[in-house]
Amino acid sequence: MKNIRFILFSIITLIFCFASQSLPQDNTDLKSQIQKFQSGSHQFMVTGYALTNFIKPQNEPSQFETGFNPIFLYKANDRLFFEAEIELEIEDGEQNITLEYAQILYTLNDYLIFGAGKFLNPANYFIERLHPAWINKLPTMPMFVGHHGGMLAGQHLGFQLRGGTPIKGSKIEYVFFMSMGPTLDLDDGFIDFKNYEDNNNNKGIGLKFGFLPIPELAIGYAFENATVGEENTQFENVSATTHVVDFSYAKDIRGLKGTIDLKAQVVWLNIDNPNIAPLTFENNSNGGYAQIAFRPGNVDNDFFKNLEFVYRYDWTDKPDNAPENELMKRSTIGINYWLSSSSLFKFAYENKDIVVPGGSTTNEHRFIGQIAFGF
Amino acid sequence: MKFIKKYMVNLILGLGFFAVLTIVGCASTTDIVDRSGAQLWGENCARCHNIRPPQSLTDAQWEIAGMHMRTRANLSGIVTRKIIEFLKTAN
Repeated sequence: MKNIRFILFSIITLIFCFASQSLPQDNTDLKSQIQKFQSGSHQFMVTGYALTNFIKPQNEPSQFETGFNPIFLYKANDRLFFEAEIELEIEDGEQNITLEYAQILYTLNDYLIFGAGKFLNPANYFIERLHPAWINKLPTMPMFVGHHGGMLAGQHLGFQLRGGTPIKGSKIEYVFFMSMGPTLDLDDGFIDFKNYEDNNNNKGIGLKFGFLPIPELAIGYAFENATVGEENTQFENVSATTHVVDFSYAKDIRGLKGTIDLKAQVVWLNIDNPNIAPLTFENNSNGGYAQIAFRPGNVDNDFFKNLEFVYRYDWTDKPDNAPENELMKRSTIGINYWLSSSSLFKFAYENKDIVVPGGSTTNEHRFIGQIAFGF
Repeated sequence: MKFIKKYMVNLILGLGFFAVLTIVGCASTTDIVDRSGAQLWGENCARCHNIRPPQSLTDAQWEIAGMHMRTRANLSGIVTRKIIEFLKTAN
């Protein structure tokens, strides 16, 4: 019996000794040990956002939509990095899975990064910086930047060189990119940005310059050019050129007890006129948006400090003689309620005028509610 | 001739606008590289979205998120390092 007691005592003592040795010595050790087992501590991180919409169009049944965009980040070392986003959504009565972007990035120096893969279009400020649901201040995107179409590509498949350089108190940004470029769609005389199999050997090129004279203000200009016609056809020399101007200003204004946020972007798209049917018209399009938002974040009231008021005007104007030559003008007014720094409720009402050939105008309006969560 | 005149006027106006912005930018603020990590964090993140509290991610996650945002926002290396260092210190 004594032997059994001695053996049990020895085992318990040994267990206690091993347990004591493995316990962290202080809170700092404990914190670092816990962090080792948390997501993101092994150079890999999953982040992203989710959203659910409720849409009530005029004279049509109301709909729910939902989406989830996981973003995968992997840092191999201080120079080598990988990022990818997948979009999973139920929208317009369909379930879609899309590779939003996937690119390998290599930091060349403090001022230049090389990236290759599918990447968000650097010329499209809204898509590159503002489109995630928890950042976009309205439940919809401007018509021309069209995540799934529009006048400016959302993504490119190719490579890019990009960076930023501080110059005293200001900063310049620069991006050069080369990609498959869009393809010409002879049905409507427009271009298709979803080009995963190029129709010619020409590759699209683009440049983006940004200038930030003060931290709150960013202005940018971008240029894109690509041959869009199919090789060995009579349209093989047709090219498309895009000019884009963007503007961003966000400032906390003490007198207003809140933050003013102004955003604007205008796109001009020109597709060559080869004067061969069906392309026998001057193929110039333009589109844009201007948006103002105000959040009284510095008032004392807990409810009002989480509110945000938003107004956006956007338009798209296609060529007069094109098969789809609508002029669309839309006004959207919205109120948001922030639940945290990256989650919010949005309530918006939009009113759209569509001017069709002959000058007749039709009007559409709808209500959209959204909950968005960035994580 | 009219065409050239129109584009010359636009060019001069454009260059003038950039010149004014450059002078304003260079004259009115501290050099970016001399700013603190906290200041750079507020300035760069808030331009597009609400700033996330340092406690919302772990130190290791800030290292990864910092590299992601460096690409997206065209941040220079020194600015990125200062912001990440601040976030890790404040975490």
